[in-house]
Amino acid sequence: MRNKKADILVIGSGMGGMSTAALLARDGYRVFVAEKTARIGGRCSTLEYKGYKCTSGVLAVEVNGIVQELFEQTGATFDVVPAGTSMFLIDGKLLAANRGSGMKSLLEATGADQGSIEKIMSAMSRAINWKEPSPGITLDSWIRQYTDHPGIIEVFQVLAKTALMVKVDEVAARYFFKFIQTVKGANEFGYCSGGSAALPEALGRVVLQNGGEIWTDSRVTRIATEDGVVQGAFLSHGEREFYVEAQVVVSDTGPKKTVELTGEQRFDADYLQELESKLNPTAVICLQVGLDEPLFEQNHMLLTGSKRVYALYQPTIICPDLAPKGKHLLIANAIPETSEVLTSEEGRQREIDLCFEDIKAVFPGFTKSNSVLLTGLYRDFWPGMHSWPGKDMPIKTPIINLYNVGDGVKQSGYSGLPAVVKSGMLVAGEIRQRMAVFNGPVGVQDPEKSSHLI
Amino acid sequence: MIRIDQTLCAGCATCVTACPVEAIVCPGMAVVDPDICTECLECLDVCPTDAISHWEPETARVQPVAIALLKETYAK
Repeated sequence: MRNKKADILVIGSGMGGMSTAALLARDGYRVFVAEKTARIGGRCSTLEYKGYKCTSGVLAVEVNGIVQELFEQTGATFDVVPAGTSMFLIDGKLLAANRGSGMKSLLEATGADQGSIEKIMSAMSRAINWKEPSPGITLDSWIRQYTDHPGIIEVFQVLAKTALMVKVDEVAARYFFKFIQTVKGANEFGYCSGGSAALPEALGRVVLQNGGEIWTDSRVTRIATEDGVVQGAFLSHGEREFYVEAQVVVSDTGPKKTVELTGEQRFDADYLQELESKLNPTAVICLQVGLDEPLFEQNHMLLTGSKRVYALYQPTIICPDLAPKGKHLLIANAIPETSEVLTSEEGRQREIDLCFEDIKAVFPGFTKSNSVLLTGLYRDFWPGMHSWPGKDMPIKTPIINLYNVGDGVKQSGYSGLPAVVKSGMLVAGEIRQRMAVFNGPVGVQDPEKSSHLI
Repeated sequence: MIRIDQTLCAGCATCVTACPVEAIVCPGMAVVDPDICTECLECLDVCPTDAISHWEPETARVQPVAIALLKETYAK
């Protein structure tokens, strides 16, 4: 057994962990990141395959929002090419959702009568600017108070799926509008020109430049605690075992895994109950296809009226480096009927078939042929998100100085990558505040004084 | 021999991209072709859900015997 010492131990190099790591490394803390797999980034990484730069999860990256803010704060390079205005395919018509009048023009394209549109628009305006819907009502039930028009419901459906990775009948109306309030105009997105791995790598560089360490192929086997205070963690790297002593441990493994690594018996029963009752991972399907010719001119389109696929991306229209010369990368995102259907062979096959049917319905010329690169499913311990929107765990655990980051501890109004980054920033802020009691980074302090952070 | 635990595999296809000899396909769940697999263990290093494990040759040899025994038992 060898010993290592750090101020902050981050378990998992996903974007949540890397956000905290980069921020605190820059402050001068000794940061140690342990990643069990061979590559950093988790679900925000690049999978190079047959000359294509596929994604391990994240593709559309929010621009002019909190993700960019983090990169500015840490001085990391934010290399994201903006994708432009969101394009929606509604009733066979492709239209742009311009800011301001966007929602109205989308609803008009559905062919719904003016009365219904006005009713829902004014209800929306009230929900966002005056009073949020009552708790417990789903977005679906909320819409149906005003209209049953299937086209209108479909517009909300694609918005809910794109933004929150759930369907209208699965998300609380209150949460949906909280999200709209939070993102305001900042829901523009773009693609990393060389693949999504550029984001965690840029943050990783900040960690390394500031004296931190990032170990890949390093599996944490146990988080050590003493009298309810975290002490560090044991990790195995190759054939060797290490003990990393740390003041603070930040887990980016998902709240359930954090408990597993620490030992259930060390947690209060109320926390375990909350974990059990709340945490339910979302499922997403991501198909990645290589194309000789692009299917359409734009770099993306959000689909209404399809069975499963809600978004098609062709990032190579503006980021040609993601595919071999002259080729294009098509990425289709879909929400399966339920997470459970993906547990059976039959269910998985049906869901994937429905996705291809959806693409064919819009582009009859599209053939499955041999161009399918990857059919990726995201669920359970490798999910779309570790928790449903609005069903998140807190960033703090009952163990003192043990935090969670990631999409299982999202703040209300945040979703996806921005939520992950937000959690990382919040945890970094909390740690700074606690450490400030000892006048800054523990590494440069009297070790006697800072040995117990309670 | 490479073994994929069906209860742990999410079907994310990360291992497909890591395999240097294209021995893995993932039509919703990862499957290894043992005839192509060189047991380089690259897939083990990238699996995010710890679904992939390596059977040592001794264990792998025992398995067919165990299966044959089981079949015999059930046949009776």
